[in-house]
Amino acid sequence: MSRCLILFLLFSSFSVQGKMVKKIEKVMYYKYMFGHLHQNPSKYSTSLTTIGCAHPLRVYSVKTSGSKPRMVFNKEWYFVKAGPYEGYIRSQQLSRRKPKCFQDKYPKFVDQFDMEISDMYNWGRLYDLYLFKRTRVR
Amino acid sequence: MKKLLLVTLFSFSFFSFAQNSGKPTSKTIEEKEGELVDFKSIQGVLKEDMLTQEVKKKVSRIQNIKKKRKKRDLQKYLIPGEDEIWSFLSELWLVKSAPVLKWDFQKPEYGIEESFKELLEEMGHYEIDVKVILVNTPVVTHMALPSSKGEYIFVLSVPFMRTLDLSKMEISILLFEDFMRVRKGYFANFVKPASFGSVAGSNFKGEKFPNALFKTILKKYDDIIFDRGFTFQQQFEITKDLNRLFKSNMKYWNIYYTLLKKIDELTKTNLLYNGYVKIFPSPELQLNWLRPKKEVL
Repeated sequence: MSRCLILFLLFSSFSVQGKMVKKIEKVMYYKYMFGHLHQNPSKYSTSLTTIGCAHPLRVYSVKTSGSKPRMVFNKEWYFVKAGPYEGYIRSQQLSRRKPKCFQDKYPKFVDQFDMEISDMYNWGRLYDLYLFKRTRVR
Repeated sequence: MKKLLLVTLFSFSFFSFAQNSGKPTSKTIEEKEGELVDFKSIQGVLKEDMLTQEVKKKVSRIQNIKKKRKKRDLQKYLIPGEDEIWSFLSELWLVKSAPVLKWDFQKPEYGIEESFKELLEEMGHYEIDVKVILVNTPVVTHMALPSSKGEYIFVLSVPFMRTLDLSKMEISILLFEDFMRVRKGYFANFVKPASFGSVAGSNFKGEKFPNALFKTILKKYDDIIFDRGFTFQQQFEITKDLNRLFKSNMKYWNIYYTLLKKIDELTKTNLLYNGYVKIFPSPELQLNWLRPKKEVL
């Protein structure tokens, strides 16, 4: 009886795992001053954590049962892991190479402004809400 | 006993490693060796062992490391130059003014940035980064903030564009007017004190950081955006510039003219926006400057 129970539990755990399979595809870096990792692929979704420039993020591909693995959600969002948090971030905010960050280039200058946690949060929100565009090359 | 000794040694070595690794400027092995060994006192021995050349190499290597470290330390105290500092200051101002500006709110995708990009390209402005932040307040209607080289930050009020029922093209023209102002340096010239030129791009190692100067700049951001705005002369120049630019494309000229008419009417009828003329003097005058002069025969 106990063997049956163990087998059942094992089987059910496999089936739960089988619903969503995550695989780390690449490591990318956050390229702006501050940013947010979101709970859902939307800029208005809850922020799980604030990340700073050059923060490394592991980008997942996700495969759900019966579908192909995919990396992009809601047109432009990656599912990533930052430290202990797993959430969504816009793909255009990430860079393949470690970026040259303003706060790394001028660390003592930035320190002088005594930025509080709320400022870093707001700075990240600013980059969530900016409408970006670049005009084409001549 | 042996075990106790091993544990003590291990913990000591671990603590010393942890302490050393925490220091940002911990010395390299070569530097420590250089401090410990006095090569001058053993010159005779070195000569006998034919090691003089090796010592020379080692000493020059240590000097190089020290030089690089000094340079790295000095670079940490750099103040960004004018081509980099503005985006930091403008964004800092946006962050600090978040409670007043109320830019963190949900809104639909208006597609403003796409339409503005097309207008910029049509006007011949290429490889430009545009950042638009929409605010949910009538306190600021529209404004371009100085930013890094090739980048422009725009603040645009959603209540303002809704009250005027502005089309995407009208919004783009409004932003283009702001773009021209910021390019002419009206904003930056107003907010930066005379001493700014010598501070930007300098190094403050061993000196007091010019805190007051940056406080003044941020205070002047408030001044120009909320109270002072631009001068009649600046407005005249901008209006004349846009007049010249848009004359070659009458579609834009007409939109600009209609837009100014709308704003003029709004500022005269809506109390919420009667402070607009203080910031952008004045839509009525701008219309006059745009109107072709009647020839007296």
